[in-house]
Amino acid sequence: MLEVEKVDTYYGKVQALKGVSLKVEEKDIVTLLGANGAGKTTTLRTISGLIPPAKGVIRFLGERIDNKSPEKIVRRGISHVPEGRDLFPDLTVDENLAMGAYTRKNRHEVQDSIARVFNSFSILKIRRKQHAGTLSGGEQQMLAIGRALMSNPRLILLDEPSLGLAPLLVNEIFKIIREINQEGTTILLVEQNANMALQVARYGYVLETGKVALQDQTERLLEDQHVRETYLGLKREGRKSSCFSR
Amino acid sequence: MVFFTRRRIIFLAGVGALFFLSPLILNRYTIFILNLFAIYALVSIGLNLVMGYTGQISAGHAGFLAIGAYFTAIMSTKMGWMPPIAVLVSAGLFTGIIGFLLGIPILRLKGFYIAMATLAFGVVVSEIILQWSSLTHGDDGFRVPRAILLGFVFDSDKKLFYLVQPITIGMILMAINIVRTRVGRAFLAIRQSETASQTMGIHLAKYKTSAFAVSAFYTGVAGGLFAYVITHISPDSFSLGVSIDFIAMIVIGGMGSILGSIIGAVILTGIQQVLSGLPEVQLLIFGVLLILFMIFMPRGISGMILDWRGRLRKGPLVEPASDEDPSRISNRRD
Amino acid sequence: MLLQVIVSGIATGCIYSLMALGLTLIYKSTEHVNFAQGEMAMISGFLAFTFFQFLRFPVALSLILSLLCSVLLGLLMERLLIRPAITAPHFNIFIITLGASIVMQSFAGLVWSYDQFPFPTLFPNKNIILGVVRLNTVTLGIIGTTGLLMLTLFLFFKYTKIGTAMRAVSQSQNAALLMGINVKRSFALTWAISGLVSGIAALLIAPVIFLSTRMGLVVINGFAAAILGGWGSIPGAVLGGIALGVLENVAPYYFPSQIRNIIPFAVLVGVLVIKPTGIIGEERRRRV
Repeated sequence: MLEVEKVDTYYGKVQALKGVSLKVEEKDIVTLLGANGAGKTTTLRTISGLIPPAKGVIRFLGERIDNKSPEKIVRRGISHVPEGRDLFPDLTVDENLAMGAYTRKNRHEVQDSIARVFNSFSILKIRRKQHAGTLSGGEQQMLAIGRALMSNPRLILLDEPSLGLAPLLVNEIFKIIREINQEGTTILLVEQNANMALQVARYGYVLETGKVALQDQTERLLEDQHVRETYLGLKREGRKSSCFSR
Repeated sequence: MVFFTRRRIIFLAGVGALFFLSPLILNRYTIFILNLFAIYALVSIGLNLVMGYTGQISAGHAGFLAIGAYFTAIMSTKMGWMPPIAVLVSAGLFTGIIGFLLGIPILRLKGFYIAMATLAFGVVVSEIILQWSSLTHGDDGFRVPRAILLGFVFDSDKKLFYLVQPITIGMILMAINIVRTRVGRAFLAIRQSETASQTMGIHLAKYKTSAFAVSAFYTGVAGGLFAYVITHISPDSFSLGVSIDFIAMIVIGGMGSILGSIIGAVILTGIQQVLSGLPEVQLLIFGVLLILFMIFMPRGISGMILDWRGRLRKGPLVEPASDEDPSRISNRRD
Repeated sequence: MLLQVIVSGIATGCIYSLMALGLTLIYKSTEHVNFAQGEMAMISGFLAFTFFQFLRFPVALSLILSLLCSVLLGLLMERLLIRPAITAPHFNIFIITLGASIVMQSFAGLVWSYDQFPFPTLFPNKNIILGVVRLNTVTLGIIGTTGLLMLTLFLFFKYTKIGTAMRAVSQSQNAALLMGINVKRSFALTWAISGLVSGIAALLIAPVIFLSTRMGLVVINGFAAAILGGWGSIPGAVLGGIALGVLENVAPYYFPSQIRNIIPFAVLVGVLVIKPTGIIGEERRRRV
């Protein structure tokens, strides 16, 4: 469904992505792992069109999108939930969701979508008239995901949904991610919490300093020594090196 | 970089000699223009120190010019025995102190607010001069007494040439010196990124206020010279429009560059004199130039020259700060 | 007596509010400062005058045409001056608008000369006596029109899809892009609305202070008003404008009359020294 081929992306003079290639099949959950600064967020931003790639090709449903602006890419069916949520802080929950549906014309269908979002995230319904900036971290994450769903996307790019959330909420969010996927939406998930990501995804890529260092099915990645040490905090012989797994 | 090679020194000496002998053959008007070039070059350098180097927008520099001019005029009248150099230096120091005092509250402001504050400053100075007519003769204007040095009266443009030019050249050399030292580099660093400068140990407050002080000093001295050359000053010559002209000078000439300041001053003064009968057309051209340069050549003429020479850039003149988000629409060039 | 002065102060304040509003709209959505806001108003005023006086169009048509022109002026400025420099630092854009204001001022001076022209009032000039206060219909007209305009804009931004999208853009350009919002068009629209607001301000104030090419200096009052109310805040712009207008009208009562000229600058300096964030206070941080 999504093909990223040998993409180079620069921030000014600094090269953030070096020949990154990845594939996401339809209905799949694919995860992108890596340390801070490895290029995970940059990859998502390149896909959604926020940053134009210097080299390489990105194809979605067979058509090239690497030369398109974000507005057009959204209309093709890709929704991006940015790192840190990036909600509209002074707009209400309702308005944020409405903005998510900006590209859709049919008002009734939009209302249906809003109803469905409130179904999955009941807490948002209670807070629908509140400004997004006043919500708690977990509620904001739910709103961000809900907002992304409003455009009826075929593919959702999720950037670090667990960032700053308490463990209970993280479980909640990942449960929702699984449900969204089961209902037919493809997901490309960027996460620092490698543990959760590898459990929910089917296939994974590991980025290190802008390059794809490793890619495999997630069961195998969970067994991989390097992955275990670097991203799961597990020493050899399966003993944990710290109480918290990253 | 050995600037002063043997050949260069001889060349400069030759040029210098020609320059200083020129009033003997040039006509009065041309000499007058050369004097104006010098005066505005000093203003330009002053403004550049504050805007081009430390990045603090000043939309009120005409105020400093006015302070220097009126200080000189009043001093010369009340204490005519003082030699002109002393008068000019005190005018510069007085203006410099005011600049320093202005720089202090400005420290808390950023960007656009600084522009507004300095704009207000410029207008307030103008208004004070207008209202305090007992001291400044207000609207009527002030007749500036001629500068007298040991009995020698500077009563013609030719004679003023020998007052204005040496002082200007001396101050330009001083400025080049300042800019080359760590002070100058600190100024440039502050413009690029205040946060980064602080982490390198640059004491922001000290440098930013000193920039204002030195800038005001230069403009104050220029004001004094202006008073002597024009001989009759009035608040009109120091309006907001004049402050904007100064901004145009450094934008066109090149911000963050002494050479640019001089080029800008020469060009704008030249245009002003060529079109002296048509003030609206002057203004129109300044405005158009300002826009064109800011869009297409933000580094000004000196930036262009440096590009041609392919040298290392003298300073980061108008690059976006490194922590700006490249995906924001206003940072994209689609 | 004092009440009357305050009312006319409110009317003057409305004009400043409109100026401040135009400035704030542009700043909020694009973070650019438009120094040429006043000149945009001035040119609209002169165009209206040209339509009416020289081309002998009927009044209503002249007004509508001139407002259309002010919208166009806003769009043109955005397209020709701002977009080419869109990747440049805000400082550059500010200087560009500075240049634009000079160009517009001198252009107007060349075309229409620097004389002052009487401008026909939009409202019949009558006096109404309400108890102890004598109100002038022109004053009421200014306050009423401004109020109506503000209400319209409020409804537009709060309840229409485009208006909400524009608010979204001003809160996060990136997120807006990801919603499929055409941010560039949003900017253009902001400038268009800003131009319209300036045009209306011109039509309201020209009858009172006479049309002149130096009218553009009212932008400084606009800046003072916006900073007083809280730079970057729309309610601040409105509040600051009214406050400044009232201050300007009341001060000559207690101080020598020349003080009127210096009030905007005194306010500017005062606010920047005491509380730079103005009455309303700090503009909200953008990220969530």
